[in-house]
Amino acid sequence: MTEYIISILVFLFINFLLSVTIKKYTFENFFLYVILYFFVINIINYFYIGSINFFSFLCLFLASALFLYAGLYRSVSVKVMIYLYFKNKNVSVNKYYNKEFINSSFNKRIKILIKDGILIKKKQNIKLSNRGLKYLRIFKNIQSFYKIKFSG
Amino acid sequence: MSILVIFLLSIVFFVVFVSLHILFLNFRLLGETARICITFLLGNLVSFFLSKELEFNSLFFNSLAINFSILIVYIEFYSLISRGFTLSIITTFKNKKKISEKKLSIFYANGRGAKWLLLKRLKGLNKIKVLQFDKNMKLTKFGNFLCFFIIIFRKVFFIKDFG
Repeated sequence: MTEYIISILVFLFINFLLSVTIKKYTFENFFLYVILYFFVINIINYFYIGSINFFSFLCLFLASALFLYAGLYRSVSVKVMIYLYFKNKNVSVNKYYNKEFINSSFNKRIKILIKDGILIKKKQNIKLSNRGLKYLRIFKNIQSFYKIKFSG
Repeated sequence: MSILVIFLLSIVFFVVFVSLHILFLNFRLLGETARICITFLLGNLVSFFLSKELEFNSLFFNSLAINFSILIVYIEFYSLISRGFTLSIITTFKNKKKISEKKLSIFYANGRGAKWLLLKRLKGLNKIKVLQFDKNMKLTKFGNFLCFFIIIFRKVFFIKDFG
């Protein structure tokens, strides 16, 4: 039982250290950390603990952590909820859309896509880069396989 | 040896689960949650009977934990392709090669617009009684309660910003 609790505490502690040391600690960084942690702990498990139950626990714990982190970090719904929680009063939907949503969600994602080289900004127009076109083809195929007409 | 049996059981589960989920996409009567729950249950049943057949009953619970992990990753993947906000910005370029920066929010998601996405999320939150909204929006008591835990979890994971 001790190894289960220690693995959770160590995981959170290293995550804290990473979030403090890395300037922009994004979901991608967290994802890489989870994968690395999984491998390192399982190597330790293989040589010193030798427990299959611990391996199964780690799989479930880290998958849940990824799921939670993705939701807490990227979800539009969570962002709206936290905004309303701190406002603690009625907020106009139109005002929220124009002031908050467009700037801090929509335009922010576009900036990230431009920074990652998926979108290209030329003068006032935006278009997909070659890498973006490749992603679009992949997404289109997956969505048509699952019969999804559009996402959002 | 035991680890290989667990992998075998989970691979069988994965194949059954994903195949049935794709097959069940045609059954429009079932909601998305019901579809995933039923296929998850059926996949685990197959995995359970296989473990019984191979006389590795005790390993089924280890496989079940991995099956839950597979379920979580699959739900994450499926919600990304069906609800992904950023992904939808990319697929907005399906029919148009170039879009002006100002009009991108109007053409978003096949011309539905970025506001459609916000309203969709608000309707979803309203449906589960997290917030009330018409022209204005406000968290319900349940919403406040839920938000309190969301903030605690964000602190546990040291999440400072939004992606």
